[in-house]
Amino acid sequence: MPMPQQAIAQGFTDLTHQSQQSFKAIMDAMAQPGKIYDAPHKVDNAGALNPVAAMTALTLCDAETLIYLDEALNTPETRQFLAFHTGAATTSDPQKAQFAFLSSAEALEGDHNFNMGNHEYPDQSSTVIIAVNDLANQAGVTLSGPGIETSRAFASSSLNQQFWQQAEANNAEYPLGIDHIFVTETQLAALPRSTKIKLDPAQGE
Amino acid sequence: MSLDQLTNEAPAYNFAYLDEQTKRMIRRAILKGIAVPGYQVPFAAREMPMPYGWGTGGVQVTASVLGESDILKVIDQGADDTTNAVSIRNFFAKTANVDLTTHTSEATVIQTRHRIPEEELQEHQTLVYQVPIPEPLRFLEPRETETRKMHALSEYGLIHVKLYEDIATHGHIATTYAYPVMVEGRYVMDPSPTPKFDNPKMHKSKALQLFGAGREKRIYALPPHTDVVSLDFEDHPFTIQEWPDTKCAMCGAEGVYFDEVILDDAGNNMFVCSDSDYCETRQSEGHLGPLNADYKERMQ
Repeated sequence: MPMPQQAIAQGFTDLTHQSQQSFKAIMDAMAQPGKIYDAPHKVDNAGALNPVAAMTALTLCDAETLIYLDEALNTPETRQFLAFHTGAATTSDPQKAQFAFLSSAEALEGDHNFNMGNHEYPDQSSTVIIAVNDLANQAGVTLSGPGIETSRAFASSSLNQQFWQQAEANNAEYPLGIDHIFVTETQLAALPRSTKIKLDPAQGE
Repeated sequence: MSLDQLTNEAPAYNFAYLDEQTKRMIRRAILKGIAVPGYQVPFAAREMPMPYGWGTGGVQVTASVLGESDILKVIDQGADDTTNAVSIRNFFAKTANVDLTTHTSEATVIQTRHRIPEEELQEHQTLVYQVPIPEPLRFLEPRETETRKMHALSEYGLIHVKLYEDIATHGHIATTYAYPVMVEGRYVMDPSPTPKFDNPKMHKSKALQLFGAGREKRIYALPPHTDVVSLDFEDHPFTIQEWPDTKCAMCGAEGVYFDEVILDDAGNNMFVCSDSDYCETRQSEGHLGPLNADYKERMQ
């Protein structure tokens, strides 16, 4: 007999306007890398996704997108939530994923070979949504590039030196590369491939 | 509901006309465009209830970013009161019921056909351009496979040759609109057929700039504070149009983009601000040009 299933959590209550407000926050975050935005909507009990990751999934994913979930997020509840609300299928092949949801930046370190796009179609790349504990505009790394007037200090206790070195290498491949969206339980910020990263001397050696 | 009601009531549209799936597809393209400034992202443009060439690309982008609390302004060559601007504004009034304005400073979303307002845009504003031909290399190389490769390799020699041929033929760079720009040192981009007068306003603009080409099915973007440099040569630097000793006949403004208006069969003319809101705001602040009806009164 099949296992009794838990009821699938509610998604957006007002799809049209909540999607738009959520998209506006994601778009502004992508256009102003490192700037921290309060998530306009938090979608609770979306399997293992945090409420802002779930908001992002409901806003951007549908039957036309393939989703990659890292090990910690790849639970039946998460898959049910995504399938029911977005119609998106999941894939275990990071190369095929338009969107990848990761429970931590460390999940990036393994053999995850996300799609960087190609020189003729750099847009065919993966967007990676990473759950982090906190976001702050304080000493950590210094971001610059499109969307940033001069420079912006950015830090998260969940993002270590290794992550930032990877992000630097990602930027070095510009216009190829993956775009990052960081999500806490309540906030979000983005790091597109176009952003230059300076590891602060305090952190580097 | 009676049959009578059903047939007489205006059809109910989804907010801002487009269905949610279409908006998501466009929104994904916008995010990619922002992440790779100046790169043209292909998207599945829909047929809109207006012909191609009337801003279907801009309308789809606006429909995808617009929210209930937004205040929309639409301009056609700087003016709020010309056909294209009025019809698109009415379209969103009907399908999205958003607040409308003609004042640049009040708007949160501005859709434009080829001009950037004179008043400096701010960080909370989004400027949406209607683009006819998004590919700056298209008239030099008709094959999409080739232009795509040229962008991939950042191979832009051809467009410099085009500008050089201008100099060889006319003695100066004669391109006055759709003047190609280099974005962040990587992609050459068509700024849409905006007069080159407006190119410097794109450079490090505080506002997010989005470009939509409906027929050609491309979206591209400039995040705020992005480097946008008009192509030129060391010995033929980029210059913008100038109207020496010219003032707006209505508001007396100088150093703005002018429209020339022919007044009679003898060829007498006047110049007025192309940006109607800028001109009207100046007039309401008491600035008057020589042909303004209140001007003579003031002089007496």
